[in-house]
Amino acid sequence: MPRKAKWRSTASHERMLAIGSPVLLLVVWELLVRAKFLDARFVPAPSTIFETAWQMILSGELWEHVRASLLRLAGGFVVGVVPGIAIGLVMGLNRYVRAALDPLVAATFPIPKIAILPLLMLAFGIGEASKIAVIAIAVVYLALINTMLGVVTLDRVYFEVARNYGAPWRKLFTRVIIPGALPHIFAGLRLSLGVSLIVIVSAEFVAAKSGIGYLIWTSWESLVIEKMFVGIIVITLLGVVFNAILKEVERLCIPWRNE
Amino acid sequence: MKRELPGSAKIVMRDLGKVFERAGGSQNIALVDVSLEVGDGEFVCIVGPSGCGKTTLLRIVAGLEALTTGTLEMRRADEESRPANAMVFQESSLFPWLTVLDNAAFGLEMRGMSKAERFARTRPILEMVGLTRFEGHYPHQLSGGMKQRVSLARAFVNDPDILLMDEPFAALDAQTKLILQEELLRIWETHRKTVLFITHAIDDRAGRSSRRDVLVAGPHHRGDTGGIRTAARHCRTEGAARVR
Repeated sequence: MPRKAKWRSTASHERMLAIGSPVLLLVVWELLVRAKFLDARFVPAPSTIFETAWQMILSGELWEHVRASLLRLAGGFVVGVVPGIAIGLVMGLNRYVRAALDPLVAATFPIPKIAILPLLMLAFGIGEASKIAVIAIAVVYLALINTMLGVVTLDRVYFEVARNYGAPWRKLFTRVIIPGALPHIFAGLRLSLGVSLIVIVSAEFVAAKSGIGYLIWTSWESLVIEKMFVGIIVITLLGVVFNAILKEVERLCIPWRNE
Repeated sequence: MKRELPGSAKIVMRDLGKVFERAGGSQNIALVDVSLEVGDGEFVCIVGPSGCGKTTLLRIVAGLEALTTGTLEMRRADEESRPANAMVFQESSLFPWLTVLDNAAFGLEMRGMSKAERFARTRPILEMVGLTRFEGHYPHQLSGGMKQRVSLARAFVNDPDILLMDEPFAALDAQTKLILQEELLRIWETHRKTVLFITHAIDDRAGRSSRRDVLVAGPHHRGDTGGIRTAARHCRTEGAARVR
């Protein structure tokens, strides 16, 4: 099987490039700082940043911020995505519900959700609830619109097959509609994940006393640039890790996908 | 083929008509006064040009479309849980998220049969269409011909009274089509299901077979029988002529 062997080596080459390019970037960055091409006061060397991060891990400071952000992210994500998928399914299946809700969704979707954070703080107080709410509101649209799309674009022939073979409603739902919409639902989850990271950092910039956004903002204000970079790197890593987890879950849930 | 006993007729259509109401009040007349009897165990081909209403006729029999005028009767020897008909659709209608085995067993699953029982019933049918080795595959891993074999198996597994086939091999290459048609005829020879087979190609192997009834639909054969109205501006099925 020489073809397969060749394919495998291409894949491993790609993996090496994927790991190699960020490493190369870090090395170049380090060298530029050491050669004083970059001002270490504004752009500290990667080694300095990692040193700072290590100290923050040891002191527990970093974990405290990560923990605060994670709780808000998880809470907001679940509170937003679950009803989003549910409403999306109903809208996809019932044209009257769709006709009633579509204008509302279309009109309120373009509002930058961070703009209503003050309103949410009036409603939910300045504590955790308002941050969870702003994430939930930001992601509910993405889950809803994509789920609805998944149901609406499902080929009519699948419904006809189910009808011709006498599918009861419950089985039509679990064996046809849900799996048929699943690829779109996952697309909605991926988008929701990205948006929830943006929203949580913005919310923590202005309205929190903990969290990664708060870490980045206060470090900037007190010009502790190394800590600011630690915050940026941590939020980036969170995004990468969550995306990888979601991708794996998707692979397990959609084994029929043509790759 | 003789049909002395009215009781042996499986499907009886009388002056069947179908009109689609379009938005804006215009009408699309798809079927006019179609009368047809299909006997038990017959293989009936409906041949006609695209858009003449063949598929509409089949969809009415399948219960996917309501008829506008006339009557449609389907006689069943026994009232039981197995379905009256099973349709093999034109395009690939397999569920991409189900394996070959699950796709073929779909009808049984919908009837609430246990996993063990429905798989036990489905596996011999998969063997009949030569797909035993592929039961764990997903549709996207199959060729077009294999997909239609699965569709055929999915219909057959239900043991329906009537098999409805809407140009099932139209999208296949000529050679695969020939092979599958032969296979379908072989299966029909052994099981003697009542089959309504639609094709637009007059040279389809199934359609040419002299032992089977061929219906020519559409305005192309006016004068064949007295019952056909000729003022057809739309291409549509107007009655059905029996050609031996």
